[in-house]
Amino acid sequence: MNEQSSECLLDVTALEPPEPLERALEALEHLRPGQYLRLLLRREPFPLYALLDEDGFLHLGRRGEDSPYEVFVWRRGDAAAETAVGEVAGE
Amino acid sequence: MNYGALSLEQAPALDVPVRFFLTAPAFGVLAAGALLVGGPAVLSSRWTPQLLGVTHLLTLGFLTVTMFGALLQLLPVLAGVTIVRIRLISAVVYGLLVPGSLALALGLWSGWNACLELAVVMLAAACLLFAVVVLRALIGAVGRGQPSVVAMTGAVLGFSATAGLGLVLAAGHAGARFGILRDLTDLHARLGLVAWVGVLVIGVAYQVVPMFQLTPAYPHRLSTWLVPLLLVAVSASAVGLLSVPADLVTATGLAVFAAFTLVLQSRRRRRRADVTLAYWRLAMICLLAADGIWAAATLLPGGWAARVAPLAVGVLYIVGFGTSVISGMLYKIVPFLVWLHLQRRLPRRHRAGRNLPTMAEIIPVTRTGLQFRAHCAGVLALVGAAFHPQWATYAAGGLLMTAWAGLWLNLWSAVRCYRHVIADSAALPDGA
Repeated sequence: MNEQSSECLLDVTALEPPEPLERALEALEHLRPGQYLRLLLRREPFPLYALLDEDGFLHLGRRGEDSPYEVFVWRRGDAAAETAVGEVAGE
Repeated sequence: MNYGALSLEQAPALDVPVRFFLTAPAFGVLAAGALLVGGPAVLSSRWTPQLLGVTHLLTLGFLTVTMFGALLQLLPVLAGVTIVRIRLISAVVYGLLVPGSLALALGLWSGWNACLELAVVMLAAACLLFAVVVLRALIGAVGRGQPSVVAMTGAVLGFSATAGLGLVLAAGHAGARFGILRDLTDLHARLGLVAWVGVLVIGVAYQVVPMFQLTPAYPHRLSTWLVPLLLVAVSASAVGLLSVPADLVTATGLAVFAAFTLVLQSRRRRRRADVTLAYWRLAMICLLAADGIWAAATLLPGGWAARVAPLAVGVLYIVGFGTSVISGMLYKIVPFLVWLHLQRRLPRRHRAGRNLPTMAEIIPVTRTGLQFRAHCAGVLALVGAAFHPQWATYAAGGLLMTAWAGLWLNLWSAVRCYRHVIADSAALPDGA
């Protein structure tokens, strides 16, 4: 995971379910204020969304540039992380 | 783009889907037991009342119960489709389908009209409710053009036609004035096996083979055209249009699917022992064998083709292909649901830093290997029994009963694992 910038990048395209979800939840435990997680996946992770919502995270998913699908995740109420996602994702 | 989240309230409790998945191997145990009770006479012809009963214990009780449960529970996961009031609908469908299937099998076996009448009423209600609810949910998603959603929609339509014909046939067995319309039997069987079981397995395979077995995706052209081609071919054959060429197209289509699946599995990225992979391989080999016998019997009709081929094809397709795929999938779906529900049920403070069981720990591989070997031996013995009932019927019944009882116990151990973790978590103080 690259933690130099506000982006934590996690590529789980080579993992078998539910390891992508396990790794994502584990990575979110270490997310610092202002940071967001960029998750590279082989498919849209529908089961992850409910877990994120319950744990207090917001997400933005789209077709990926470097993988079939990617999801940006940030802590609810973290305006800096949300702005950073907006800049990267063009929203 | 996808902001926001799916509501946790939409996700049913673990017992809702697991009820379907634990019922399937129980029907298998019943079918194997019926084979032991009936003995070689059951397999003396495809038309014995006992074989009709055993066949429906497997096609309705084992295959359809699992496929209903899987579609109702996994559509939100696989296709992002939401089914309103899923808990209530699942409970009602289950409550009608399971006793209805038992009544149908018992009625066919014994010829008791009251059983058949009860079965017709319960199964008609279960099938109608299921088809309306799932088709409504799928139609909302089908516009996205996802091949697996198109296949699932085709499969549910195929199921509706199969169920309609089946209900007319069952009513005939129950003494309806129009009698048993024998001409519909082949059509009912063909639609059920190809358009329902075959097409649904193909649609699910497009998603789960690459996802769980880490293979490359199915070629786009194949995943786009195979299911429509199969549905057109089976429909043409059903209405008597170019029946022989249509049957050969169907057989070729299924063989192409089986061959591609085996090739993709040989190119998987992670090479470790996995019971689901083993089950899928067995299923694809049986599908190819069933196809070969079917094609040979179509091209070379005669005494052999009329007497033994239908039994051998039925055994290879329903038990060798159908129950093997389902068993392999249950070994992924049930631990996955246990894992997912543990994540949802446990408060975050309890999850953090705790070692929740992994998928591999929920049903250990040591327990599944023996069960898989018993299943393989049972399939082989049943194929032998199709050719020589006197030699192999009891061996097949005993082996399959062992295999399916083992499958039930293994799935039950996953539920017990879930209950233990939840109970341990409840014993922890807040903030632990």
